[in-house]
Amino acid sequence: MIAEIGSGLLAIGLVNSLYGVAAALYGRARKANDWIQSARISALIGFPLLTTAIILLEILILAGRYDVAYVYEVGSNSMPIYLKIAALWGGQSGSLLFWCWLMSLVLFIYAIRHNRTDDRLPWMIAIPQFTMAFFLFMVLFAYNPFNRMFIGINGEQILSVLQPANSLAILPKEGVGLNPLLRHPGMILHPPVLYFGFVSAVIPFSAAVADLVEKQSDFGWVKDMRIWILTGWLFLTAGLLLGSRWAYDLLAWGGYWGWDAVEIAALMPWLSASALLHTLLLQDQGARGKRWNAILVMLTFLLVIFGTFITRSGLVTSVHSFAASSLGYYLSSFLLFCLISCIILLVVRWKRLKPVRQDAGWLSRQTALQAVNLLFLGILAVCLWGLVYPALAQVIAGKTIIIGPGYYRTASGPLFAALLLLIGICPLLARTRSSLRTFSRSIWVPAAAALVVSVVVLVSGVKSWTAVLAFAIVAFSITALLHDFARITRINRKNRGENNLRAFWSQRARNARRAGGIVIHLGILLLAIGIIGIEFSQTYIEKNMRKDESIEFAGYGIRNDGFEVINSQDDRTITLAKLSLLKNGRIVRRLEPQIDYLHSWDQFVSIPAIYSNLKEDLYIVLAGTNSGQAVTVKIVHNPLISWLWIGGIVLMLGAVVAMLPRCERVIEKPTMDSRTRVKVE
Amino acid sequence: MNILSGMIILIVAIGVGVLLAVPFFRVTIPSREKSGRMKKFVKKPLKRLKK
Repeated sequence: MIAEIGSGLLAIGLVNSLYGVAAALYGRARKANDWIQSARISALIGFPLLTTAIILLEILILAGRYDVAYVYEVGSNSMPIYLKIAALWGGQSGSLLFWCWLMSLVLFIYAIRHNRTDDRLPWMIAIPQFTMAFFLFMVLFAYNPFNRMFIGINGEQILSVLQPANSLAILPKEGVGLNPLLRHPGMILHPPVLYFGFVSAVIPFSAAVADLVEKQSDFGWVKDMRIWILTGWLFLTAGLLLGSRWAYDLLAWGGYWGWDAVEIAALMPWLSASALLHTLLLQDQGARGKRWNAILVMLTFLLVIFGTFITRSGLVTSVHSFAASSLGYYLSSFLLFCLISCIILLVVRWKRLKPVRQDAGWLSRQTALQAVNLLFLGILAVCLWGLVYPALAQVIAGKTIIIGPGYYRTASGPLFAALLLLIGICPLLARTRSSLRTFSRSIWVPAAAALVVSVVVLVSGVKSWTAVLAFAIVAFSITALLHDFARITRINRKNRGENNLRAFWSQRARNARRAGGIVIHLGILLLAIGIIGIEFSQTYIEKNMRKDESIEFAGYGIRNDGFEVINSQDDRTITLAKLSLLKNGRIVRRLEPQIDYLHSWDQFVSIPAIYSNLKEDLYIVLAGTNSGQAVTVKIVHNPLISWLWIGGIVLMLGAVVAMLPRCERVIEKPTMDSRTRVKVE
Repeated sequence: MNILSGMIILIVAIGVGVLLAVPFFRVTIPSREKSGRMKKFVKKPLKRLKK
């Protein structure tokens, strides 16, 4: 009964979305407010409908209803509750439904906040509803998570919600369960956060399309959509960082980013959204931003669909991707439709997006922002080429080409370095024109800091000149940012007579965006320290250790205290190595890297043990065990990697600060004039 | 299909349909100011003020 109701709700949801599209467009064409308001109600209804469907699916998973094909695929009695909850988005059809649900949530939030009928509203409902209808169509007719399993008269397996004639229901007592690599707490947060970042791209996209179609000359979507763009970007960033941490904790190769095709597919919308956040500033400043904003907001949405296509079509093999499926045809058709529509719209309205004449000099913040935009697009092009080229080579020349991480590192590394440098240069420049003299006067403090750091890095034994240069760039930019922040605080203190702390805080209140921007960039620079550390100075050894044998590595002693084998009740056999980490002869930590063998999957999963501090990580992977309590371990030394995670947290805090509303009124003290005026009145 | 689940789906579908139709029915609520009770209530203090 639950499966039937769930499927029925999806069908009602699909009809509701299609009605929403039709009513919004009809209302727009006839200028009929009641039709548009009806379409708005359809946008509000979608969320409770899909929420109920999601809850019903979760009930099926928790109850272990393995006659439902999806529950059989991702559920298992041996899985803990949190994994059973996460199993909702652990397979193809469930995650598609989850995608739709998040989109209905995003649309619900938008529709509940915008009850005023304006020119934009019909499009703001029609476009997300159309996208949702497309995904719901795929869920309902191609990958219905409520399908049950039946066996036909000829012994063939049939998937259907309703029992076909002359068939018997299959009632398994146990499910297959999630892929062992997905059985991690990261599964709870990483996919939902990333998906939310993806789906929220539809709102700014719809707003931009609405303004283009409605020939809005001021192209005012930028102002209204900033919060959506920033929220989407924040969720994408958080999703990528959570994924990196998950990979670091579980995949046992000692890295955080493998340049895997699906990782790149998720990075690309982030890159275009980051570029968009910078070009938004250009339009704010009355400069040439309209065209870039229109292109980038469309590109972000298209890249989200492209990423979904890459992940779900089975085009690439990855830990992230789902098995090969027919979804590729649906998604590629939808992508093509969106791409052509966007190109036509841009071509038709290109003249309307004519840039405002500006007289910004070559040495100005506006020019620097343009450069930032181009650098982001450069990295995007590198990523896109890396994904598309092997497929093209396969189709055109019949050659199998594999593009490894080396290509991405070499091609995108200098572009990332240039971006880091621009983080430091931008605050030193005036908005429209800086003279070389004022610029050189302001650059010497950060330049001196960069020089000092270079010397310190060289003295500390780093031999790679590229690493020294990278650290110098980071030091330059951090100093420039802090210098800028201190300068503004000082001005506030002088002009308003505030103390240091108050001046610091009120700066955030007066210009949350700028203060948030400074914190975000500071986070990125801290993150860069971690990346530079691991990329340039990572070392490792692989060693077979007899019992009680010690080895020296990266200034630590590692002693093998033996291993034990545990037969866990949850379908696993755990081999646990017992190692002692020694510093100056004293035990610092006991580390237990392990190998889990999952019987039902016939698969080994290695879980590393990590000793972490601000200076470095010691990352130990158990590679195997031998007779006489001997173990083979791989020990990876990752300098400064902790700064990657710290930087990530700072970055996200910065995004939150940038999203906070301005609260200048609260902070400003009432003047004498206003008090006396009140008395007189 | 189970009759109960069919009924539930039907009820939800009708509910959704009714909600979608709400904007087409302009419900006019009689204004309180125009009712006699309200007039009295408003007029008295006004008269007092005029005096």
